[in-house]
Amino acid sequence: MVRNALLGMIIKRLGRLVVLMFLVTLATTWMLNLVPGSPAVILAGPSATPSVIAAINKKYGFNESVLVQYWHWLSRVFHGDLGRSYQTQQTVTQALSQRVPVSLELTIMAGLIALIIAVPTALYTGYRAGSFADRVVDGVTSSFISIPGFLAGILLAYLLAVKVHVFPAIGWQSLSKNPARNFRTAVLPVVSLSLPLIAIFQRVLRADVIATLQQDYILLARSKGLPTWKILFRHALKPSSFSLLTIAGVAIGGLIGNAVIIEQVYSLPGLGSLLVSSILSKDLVMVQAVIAIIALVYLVLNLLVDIAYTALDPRVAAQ
Amino acid sequence: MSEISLAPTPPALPTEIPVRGRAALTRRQRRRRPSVLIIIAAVWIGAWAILAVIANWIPLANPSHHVGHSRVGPFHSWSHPLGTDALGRDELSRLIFGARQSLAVSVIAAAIAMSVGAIVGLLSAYIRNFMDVAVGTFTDAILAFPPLVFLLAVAATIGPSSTTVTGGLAIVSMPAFIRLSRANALRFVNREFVQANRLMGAGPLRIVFKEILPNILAPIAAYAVVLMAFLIVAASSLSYLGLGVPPPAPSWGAMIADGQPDLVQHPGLVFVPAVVLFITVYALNVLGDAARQRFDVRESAL
Repeated sequence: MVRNALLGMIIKRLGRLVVLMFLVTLATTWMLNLVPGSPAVILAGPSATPSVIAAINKKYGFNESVLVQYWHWLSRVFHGDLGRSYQTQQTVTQALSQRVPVSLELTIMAGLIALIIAVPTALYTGYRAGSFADRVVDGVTSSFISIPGFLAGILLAYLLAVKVHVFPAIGWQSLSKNPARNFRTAVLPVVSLSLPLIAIFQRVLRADVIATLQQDYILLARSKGLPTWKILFRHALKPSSFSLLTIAGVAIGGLIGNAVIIEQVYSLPGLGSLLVSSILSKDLVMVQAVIAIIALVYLVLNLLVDIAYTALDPRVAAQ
Repeated sequence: MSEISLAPTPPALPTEIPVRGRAALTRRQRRRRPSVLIIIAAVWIGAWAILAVIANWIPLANPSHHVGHSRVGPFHSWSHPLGTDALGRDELSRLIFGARQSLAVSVIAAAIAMSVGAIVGLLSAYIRNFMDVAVGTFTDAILAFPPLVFLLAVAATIGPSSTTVTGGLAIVSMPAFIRLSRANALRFVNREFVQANRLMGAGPLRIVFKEILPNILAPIAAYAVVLMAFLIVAASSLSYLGLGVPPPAPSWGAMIADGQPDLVQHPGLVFVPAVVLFITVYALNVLGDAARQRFDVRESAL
């Protein structure tokens, strides 16, 4: 019965995801139609004759209504064709296949580092709530939350690339070409991205750990003589991680989009910088595809979080 | 039709087992200790707010014109206490007029998001059914856009200006207010005093705005303070990318971006606005945390 409920939940959630993807892409098409200045004029250049502009309008369907344009886009997408960039004539699929790995690497590394640092810290500060260490950590996380991403990026680059030449200040080396150099180029951006995540994860988990440690079974575990680390990691972590899971899904899912700024600071060839450059050059097909991908990643991650809930606590599915 | 519950709610049982030592202090008690920090934060924010309002009446150099040598370091001259930037514009004056810009954008965006969000959330909680589904889908769709991506798209499509930045920020902050006010309102829609009001013949508008709204205002306002920190960061991030308020109007983000090429020789051009921005966001977070603790806003409600 629990299994059926879980299946039903997943199907319902998938349906919701599909509806939301339609809404997001439709809204993007509509918003891109508000762009002042016809994209055909930009494409054709300032000296183009009206007949050339008309031809371009016809070719790309810029004169159609939003719904017709959306329908054309959608039917192409279902045939596996995301279109071709107006600017570079590169196919969108090709551009995405270069950019997505960079963004994914940054996102996954930043998320992992944040969890690796935040979970033990949260367990300890939750266990020793109110202690000196707890207050120090609280102060540090407050400042992590208060540093705007681009500021963290600039400061780290200034300290570790300009003052002390430990890491390169800008640039990127792909993982497949040169792993060692890839690591060196990835460190500063990943650290900048993970600072706010560390703070958020630590705070959320700490609050839940404090509540969990009040439970009777923790008292039992302690009276059995289990060592503290075992109580914290084996008994307290799992029941305390619900809020952490929710926040982690939202935060890591949002990271791929919020990395825009960090990619700009370090000139990284990720999805964010592709988005900014396509927005500035009115490359609408590209913008449409990048926003769709970013939204899809976010929604899928949140779906996975919902499924993970039931793995943590089967009672959730039964409700 | 919803059931009228006449049974009184049972008194809350003490669930917390007393613990000894420092851990015995509840979160609220511990938070009360660093009240000095809260006072400093309030003074800092208040000072910038006042400076931003009276900026026109204090004798400051024009923030958009060059007034002296370029790149004078901070604390080098009395006439330009914080130095000048690459174009010889007075840094102090740009900071103050930049504060005016950042604060105006954030306050207006927060006010719009709060009032519209609260009303939509309330109606969604009161009407339920189709309204709830529609509002839920709408908020989810907005949340599926990462806020910065949405703001970039808005700035690029409609063109960067203080109006688009304010409007865009108001839209991205709306879902949180809708969810917060809906979650809080749901606790009240079936309470006795609301039922009584309905039986007395009060219309839905009166019930929603006169009975329920006053009960949910405090947590919503507390969240607005926390949101202000996010709004200032978002607005300065946009200016940093060159998609915020267009130059020559000063903004903190643009000052940092302008100073970045000179970072090695003249770090002050980046660090002065950076430190001001950081302390402001920090102070807003401190105040927001305090307000949230006081009115007990749960993160999970968002």
